[in-house]
Amino acid sequence: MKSKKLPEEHGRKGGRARTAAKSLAARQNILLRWHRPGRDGVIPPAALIDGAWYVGEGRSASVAYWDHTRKTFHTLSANSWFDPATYPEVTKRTVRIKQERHVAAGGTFAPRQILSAAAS
Amino acid sequence: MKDFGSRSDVERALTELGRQMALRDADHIAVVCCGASALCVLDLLARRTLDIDAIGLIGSNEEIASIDRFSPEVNDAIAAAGLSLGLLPGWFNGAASAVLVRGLPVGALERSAGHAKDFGPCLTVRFMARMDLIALKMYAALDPGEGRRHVKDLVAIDPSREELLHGIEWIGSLPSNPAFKRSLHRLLEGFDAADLYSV
Repeated sequence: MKSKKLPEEHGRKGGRARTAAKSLAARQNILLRWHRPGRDGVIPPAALIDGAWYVGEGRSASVAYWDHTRKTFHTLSANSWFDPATYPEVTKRTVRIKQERHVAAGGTFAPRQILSAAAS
Repeated sequence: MKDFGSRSDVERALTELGRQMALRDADHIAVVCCGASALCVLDLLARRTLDIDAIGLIGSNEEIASIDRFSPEVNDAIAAAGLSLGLLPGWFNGAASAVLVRGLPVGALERSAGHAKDFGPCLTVRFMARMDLIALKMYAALDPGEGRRHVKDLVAIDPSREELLHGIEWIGSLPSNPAFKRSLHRLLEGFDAADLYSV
């Protein structure tokens, strides 16, 4: 009896359905063919997609939102306010949006993998 | 979008801020700055930064006060200077002011006067001295959740034993529990200076 192959076996994880995540991944793949990551695996600025979130290494966070207009990553960074008398208990935490430049531009964020696009 | 990587970058932005404040006839303010921009001005750190952190406002009696908010004229001037130079919104901010809850190292304000500069008739900026910036970095590096990035900065600054000792004197003067003291000791071990502080 001829068995029906699963979509995963054809490299179509998740089936044939068209999703925003797949479209984004496809766009990223095309850009990465034109602008290849460096030997260190860092995605170059020219291959970044405006409004997408990237996983990588940054000073203030490991996930960042790429703002193409400002050529800047936005991260969510936390500061803990602690009292040395009750250490390591954190009494308050403030979360701020911080900005980091791409490492190739002398900044501190090194994007390595696309995560998802912002809701549109 | 511009950022700051050197003393001239920081001074250029502050000159524009001072000019915008003068155009708005703002009252004179004297601010003390810390953070990466101050480290850049003092040539202590190579990394670039996107903002200038003001830690407090100096009053007429030479006392430092936290920055709850700037006056509307100053806020407008910050926005206009940012727009003019292509800086991010909030490029000049008082978020670091919260540090003042623990106070500053003894004599920090007087030492900052050695790195003071007027940017027009409305703005005077003082940058904290190297030893005090290191003390603040040491305290920030002890943050139980987010201290890692400050440790990296400290490693890049490469403080001397005397500078670490200055930080210890300030941090050690704060009321603290044994866990905090152990954490400070571990930090100093990383700089081969654990002998400067006994738990």
